[in-house]
Amino acid sequence: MSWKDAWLAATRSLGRRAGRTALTVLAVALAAALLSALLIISTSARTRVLDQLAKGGPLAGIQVAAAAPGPAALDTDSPSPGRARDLDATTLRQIRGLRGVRSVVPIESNPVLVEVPATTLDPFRETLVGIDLRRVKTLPITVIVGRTPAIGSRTEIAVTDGYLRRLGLDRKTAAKVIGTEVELGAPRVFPSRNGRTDVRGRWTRAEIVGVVAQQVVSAQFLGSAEMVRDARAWSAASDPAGGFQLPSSRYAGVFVVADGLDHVGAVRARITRLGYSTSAPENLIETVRRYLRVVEIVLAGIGIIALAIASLGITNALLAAIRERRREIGVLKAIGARDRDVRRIFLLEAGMTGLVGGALGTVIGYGIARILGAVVNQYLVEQGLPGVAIGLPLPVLVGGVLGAAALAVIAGVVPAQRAARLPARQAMGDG
Amino acid sequence: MAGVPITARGVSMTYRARGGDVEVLRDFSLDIQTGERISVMGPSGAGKTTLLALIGGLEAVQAGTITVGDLELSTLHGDALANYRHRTVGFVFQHFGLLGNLTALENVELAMSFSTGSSRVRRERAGFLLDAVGVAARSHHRPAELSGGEAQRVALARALANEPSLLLADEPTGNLDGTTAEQVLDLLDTVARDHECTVITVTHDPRVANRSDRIVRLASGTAPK
Repeated sequence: MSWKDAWLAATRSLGRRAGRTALTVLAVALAAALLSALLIISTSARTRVLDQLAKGGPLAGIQVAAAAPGPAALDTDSPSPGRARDLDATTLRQIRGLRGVRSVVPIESNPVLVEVPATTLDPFRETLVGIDLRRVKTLPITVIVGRTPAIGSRTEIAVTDGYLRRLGLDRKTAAKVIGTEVELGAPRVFPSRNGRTDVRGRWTRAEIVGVVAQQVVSAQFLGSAEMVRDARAWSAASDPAGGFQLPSSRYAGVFVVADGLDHVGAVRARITRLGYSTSAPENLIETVRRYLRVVEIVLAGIGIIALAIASLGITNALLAAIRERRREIGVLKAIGARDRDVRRIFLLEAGMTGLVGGALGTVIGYGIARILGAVVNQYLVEQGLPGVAIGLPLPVLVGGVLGAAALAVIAGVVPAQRAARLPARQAMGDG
Repeated sequence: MAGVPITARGVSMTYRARGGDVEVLRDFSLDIQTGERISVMGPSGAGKTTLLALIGGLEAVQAGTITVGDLELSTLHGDALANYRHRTVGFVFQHFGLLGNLTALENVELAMSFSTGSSRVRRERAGFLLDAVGVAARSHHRPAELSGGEAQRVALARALANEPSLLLADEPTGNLDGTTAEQVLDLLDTVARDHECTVITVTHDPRVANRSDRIVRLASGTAPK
């Protein structure tokens, strides 16, 4: 008997017992739904937790400071940097050339005097950090509200929690600053006249387009690299005798992405040998990853137990079917079916039940995960935190459907074997 | 297709039961000529159906030998025995033995699905056979939608599907009324003659038995009289 004929026979048989088949499929679907929902939620949670640890940047990110390495440079994730050391274009090239480095993003900054129009806030000093905004996704920057400034913009900025606190706001009320403006003055010291220091600002009016959490450099304002370069060019022309000392380093820092989490340690060591202080949450991420793996295993175990129970339901349904179909199996054998033909029909019945149940269950599980994700997101947004994105990972989809089918086939082995061994004499009844 | 001679020598059969072993056949011997049509009669429990099951390869021979054509059945096991049932034997059961989830046409096709052959050829032959037994108009009906006579005709078409040399009928009219039974018996006679196959019919009904070339009578657990 060909597989096609066996498949047709199995399909007809399942269709004939539509009620029982539907209940068995439902049991498998519910178990598969539980398994896939747990795996989808744990995968999303894992991504979110690791993303939080990496502060929105890649897991294999390394921050390089414009400073010499401290004594315990490689022993901790965040060592104290040593004395200041310039980071320039040459250093950037050297870091790019290191083995295990995937990308290098320079960070630029400049001091600014800030005025906030239409408030009673006194002008204050802060730092404006500038990055190549085309590569913002490779940096530890998380958008809380709004967006990052447009690429190359000289009139848009994003602010951090520190700015919100100055205004008496927090993340829940962060949206209030979107669309407001600030005036940023890059300072330049001119030669003194009459013994008084003459500081003039190059003022730029900028619109706040987003609130971000950033771990790039300690600063409350994030703009484009072009905006910071303009400010720096103005400030760099200060009179050296004026007492205003602009940092000599071309770059405030560098963000390096290694080829993978496993390479972070080696890349950090190579950068340290170049003479710069580095920090990366590699140890923390690795520890958390281990804990998350344990959680995933436990959740998957719960789902698999549910699926195993559903598989027992398949076994039970098939055994009941065999009891009812003894004569039918006998007739099949009387007209020429071999043991393996009968076995094949029953295994296909089990497999189809598992496949349909698995597919249905995975879709249901995805739906459940989406609903739970929406509830969780509502809570996170209320807390001023970025939400989680619920997706359907390919391994969960494939595993949910094929895993259920495979378990169902395993569950069908004993009934199929029993059916195959029924004597052909059953065709004539028990007498 | 042509009939086969059958030889049974010293066949004994005992069933194990909770209340003790039940000897159904003891030292039974029989010769059937090629193309011969015989009827087996006897009281309930005499071993009629068991004899049919043994000759049809549904039951393993415990003692003695049964030879069908040049095949010694006790030497056949597993796939070889299934192959024998498929290629040599056509069964007609009292309860028809049609699969309820298949149409009449599919039931006949099913008997051909255990050997190679395209589904188109199988379907054409199944249609031809249903036409030959007079139920072509019921091809797409399921067994539950057929009368007893129609169902038995479909069963007969299925039995002929693989051009068997040996037709075994177990009480083929047991579930039919008188008129329908006569029609089915006429049909059975016709196909047996046309296909030149050896026919063994188990029956309680003398009208059925009288249509055969020879009647074998079994007494309880004994050799034929």
